[in-house]
Formats: sequence, structure tokens, C-alpha cells
Amino acid sequence: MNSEYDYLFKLLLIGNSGVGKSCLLLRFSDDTYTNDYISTIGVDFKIKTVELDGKTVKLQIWDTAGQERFRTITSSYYRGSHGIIIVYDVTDQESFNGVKMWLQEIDRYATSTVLKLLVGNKCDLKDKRVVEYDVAKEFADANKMPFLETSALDSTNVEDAFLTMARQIKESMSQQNLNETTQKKEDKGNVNLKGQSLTNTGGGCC
Amino acid sequence: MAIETILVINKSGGLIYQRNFTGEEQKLNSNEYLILASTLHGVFAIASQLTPKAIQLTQQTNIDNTVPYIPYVGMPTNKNDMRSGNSSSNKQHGTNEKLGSFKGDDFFKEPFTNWNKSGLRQLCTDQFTMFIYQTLTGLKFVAVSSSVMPQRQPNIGSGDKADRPKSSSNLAIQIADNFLRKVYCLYSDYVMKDPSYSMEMPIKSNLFDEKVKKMVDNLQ
Amino acid sequence: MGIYSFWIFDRHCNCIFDREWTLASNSASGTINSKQTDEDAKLLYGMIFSLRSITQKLSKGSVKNDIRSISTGKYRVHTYCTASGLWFVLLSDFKQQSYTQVLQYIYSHIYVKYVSNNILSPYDFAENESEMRGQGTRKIANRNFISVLEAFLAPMVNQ
Repeated sequence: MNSEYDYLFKLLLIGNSGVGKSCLLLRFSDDTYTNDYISTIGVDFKIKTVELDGKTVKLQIWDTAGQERFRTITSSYYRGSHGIIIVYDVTDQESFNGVKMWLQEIDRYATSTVLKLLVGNKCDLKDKRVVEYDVAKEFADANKMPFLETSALDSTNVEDAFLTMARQIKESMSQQNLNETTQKKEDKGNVNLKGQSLTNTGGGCC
Repeated sequence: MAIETILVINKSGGLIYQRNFTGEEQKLNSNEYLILASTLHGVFAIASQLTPKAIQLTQQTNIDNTVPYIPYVGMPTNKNDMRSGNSSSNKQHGTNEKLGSFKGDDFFKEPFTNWNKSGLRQLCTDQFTMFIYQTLTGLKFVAVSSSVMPQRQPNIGSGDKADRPKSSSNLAIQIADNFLRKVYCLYSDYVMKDPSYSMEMPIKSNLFDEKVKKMVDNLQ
Repeated sequence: MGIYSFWIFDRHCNCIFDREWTLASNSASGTINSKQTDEDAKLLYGMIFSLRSITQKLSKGSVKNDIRSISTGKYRVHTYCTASGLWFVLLSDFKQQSYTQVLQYIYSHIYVKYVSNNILSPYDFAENESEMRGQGTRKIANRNFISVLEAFLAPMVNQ
């Protein structure tokens, strides 16, 4: 049982209520059933199992409620997340203004290395659009995060973005191991204060 | 206290270990267990939020979070032989006695602090009881036991507090805390010290698995 | 302090009655059907709802498996669910193990008598679709119900 998956990544979905967070990933998850936890404990879960470099990875998406009453609780859901997706509605200026507030929340509760992604939802409603692509793109660039627009009708690009994110997380995890090994190599010419064997620097854990 | 399931939930609410000991077919698949564990994590946070106003107002500090040490929970039952230390019985027990690891035959022998000060500790249902032990770092060890807490008739109106017997449900929590803390010790010994283990990721250690199973078996 | 608060939820996830005591020394202290406890009621409902779904997932066979109590580091929650989908919930300290009988008594002797069998009391507290799914705000305001319930629970406040 406990060998069913090698990695478990936590991805957090945030944004004002009513931006259509939950609809984005309906077809993306393993199971089509929907739990109705979100209205009761402020979070719902979707899980996607993927293979990356021969390893089984479970992407667990924490779909959080935007309602005010869950604010203190949702902040506890940030803990240990590997990636955070901020969603706004392109037909709702207020939800785009809210992105700034969500970024502050991320700064406060998540780790600094967490991967971010900005998603503008409902881009199929062209005549109702109030947030222009260029404006959002500029904002995303200024905050150094990737940006894309999507709609519930065709959310394949979000799914692609999720897989890209998963790959990045996996890489950054192997990167950490790699860093450790290169660090050891750099130590070679100097006095080794760590008490490690100098000949045994090859081979990371992966 | 027969343990049916052990779960380990990391500090971010992800399920990193799940094992059934009943030998029956798994009722839930791995995704359902993941959701179950993370839901518990969420409920845990809500439980702290719901602390009654009366407690908040009085800043009530008379809740003692010290868990008494209960000897040999989950340890081999013929512990007298073990303590006598004669070589023949030592051989007999084989690997059993190693359960206590370098920390002695029963890990720690002092009362300890329950760091789970306001979160979820126990869930009693008609069919099972679930216990949650949380470490200082936020790791959660969950045990589902097939034992059901008795429903004792409360003596309505009786004001005598002193001679009221200690509730068996409180005792069960203490036993579970003692047990789950030992599982935490096993985790520290066999998972954390495994050089190939990535922090916060699923536990795939056979040694940990074996030791936990042994401890669960000893408890029956 | 023996008991901290008492709640009734209907089958539409709405809290239709709440009572919270704040002082052990005064069983008349605290709030009844307060607006301030709205959020707490929703969170309490959410906690029980989620744990119930876990309980049902882990249950064996077709026998009913329901929550009896939930313990935290600071208080204990006792629940009693009726066949009609009502939840009676009591928050207490750790001295008493079970309040199931207390909750059963409140349902069968107080609630049924003063609310269910009262022709003036609404059959359903949610009057339309928009008041279901936890959106309702109607509460039990029946004076007889409240006074009998108060008299019954008062001795337990300072137990």
C-alpha cells in the first residue's frame, strides 16, 4: 500500500470566491466524484496521479474557499505547499484586484521558494471581459510568475501548466540533492569540517 | 485495544504512510485515504478555532497537557523476562527486544507533554475509535482502533466532583498517546535516519513497517 | 465548567438553535440564538459533517455507524443524530464521558413536545430553496422550549 506512490506534491488553488476555481480542474483529476467539503471546512481535494521519470507522483490539489469566514483556516492550508495557483475572473475586476492580497497571503504563510502561477479564468466570455490580457501579463511579469488565460470550456492549458509545475517541483527536489553533492565537491580543496568522507562524493540519492 | 489502521500525516496535511492491520481487503483506495487524511488536517484546524468562549474568557490554564507514562504499551507482553536480563530469555525474544531501540526496552519512561493542545485528539463512533497524536513539529500519527468507548450514564444533578471515576475515554487517549509516541520514535529511528528518505514524502521503509506491525501485534 | 454550548442543526445544514454559556458561576450567562455565533455554528457543522463522512467511509457492513463524541485538547463535542436528520450537539469539558442520554432526552422530551408537536412551529425551518444548504437564518424562538431546555441544562453548567 505504502509503495503505491513515490512523491506527494501539494498544490494550492486560491482566489476570490466565485472565480470558478473548482471548475478548472474537473476533468483533470483521477476521480470524477466531487466531495462537498469546500463549503464546510473551506477546502476540497482533487488528486491526479502522474508518472514522472519513472516515478509515481500524486498531485494533490487543495481547492480552497474564497469566503471570508474561512480566512483564518485557509491560511493554515498554505503550510508546506509546493505550488500555488492564483485564479481570477477576467470578467470581474474585483477578483483581479484581489490577486495582490492573495500574493501577500502567500508571502505570509507559504515558503519563499513556492512556485506560483496566475490564471485568468472565463476568457471565453469575450464581450464581458474587463481585465485585459496585457495588463494581467505585465502584473504577472512584475511579480515573476507565469501567467495564462483559460476557460472551463477548454482548460487543457491549465492542465499543461499543472504538469509543468509538477515537473519543476520534482526537478527542484532533485536539485536540492544535487546541490548537496556539488557542495561536497567544492569542499574538496579545503579542510573538511563536516567530517564527511572525501572520496564518497559521487551519486545523489535519485 | 486492537489497532486496525495507522496513518502518518505530514505537517502540510499530506498522507505519507497508511497501513491496515486487519488483513481484510482495503475499503478505500489510495486517493480516498489521501482525502481522508487531509480532511482530518482541516478539521484539526477548525477544532482549535471552535474553542468555547468560556475557556477563551477565563484563559483557563487548568488543562494539564502532561500525559502520564503507561508502561509497556505495544511492547512484548513477557516483559518480566526482558527486564531480568538473563541471556536465555534474551535469545528467545530475538528481534522483539530491539523494538525499544537504543532508548531502552520501553523507549522513554517519563510523563511527556501532549503538544496537541487544542486540536482534534479522539473521535468516538459506534464502530471504532480514532486517536490523533501530534508532535511538536506538526506531524500527526493517527490510529484507528476497533474498540468502542462505553457510553456511561452521566449522573445528572450530582454535584460531587471529587469521587467521580476517571472517564475511560480519557484513559484510552493516554494509552493511545503512549503508543503513538512510540510509533513516532520508530519514525525517528527508521525513517528520519534513512539517507534515501526525502522529507515530507511518502514513507517506503520496510524496517519502519515491520516495527510498527510488531508493536500493533503486541498491543492485541 | 461542565457544558459550554448546545446547538441544533436541521437537515438543511442550518443552525436552528444555539446556546452558549460563558460563566460557570452563572447558568443564565451567555447567549441564545446569537448572530455572533453564526460563523462558529457553520464551522462546527463543517467539522461534524466532515468527520461524519470519514466515519461512514470507514464503517463496516451496513450497520449504522455514527459519531458519538469528538475530543480536542480543550473540549469535547457530543452528537446525537435523529432519523429525521436533526443534529443535537453539546460541547462539554472532559469530566463526563457521554452526554448521549442527555441529548436523546432533549430531543424526545423537549424538542418533540415543544417544537415538533407544536402546530404553530414551522414544519420546516427553511421556507424556500434559498434558505437551504446552510443559508437559513431562522431559529427556534418558542419560549416554552427555551425555558424548559434552560431548566434542564442549567444544573450541568457548573458541574
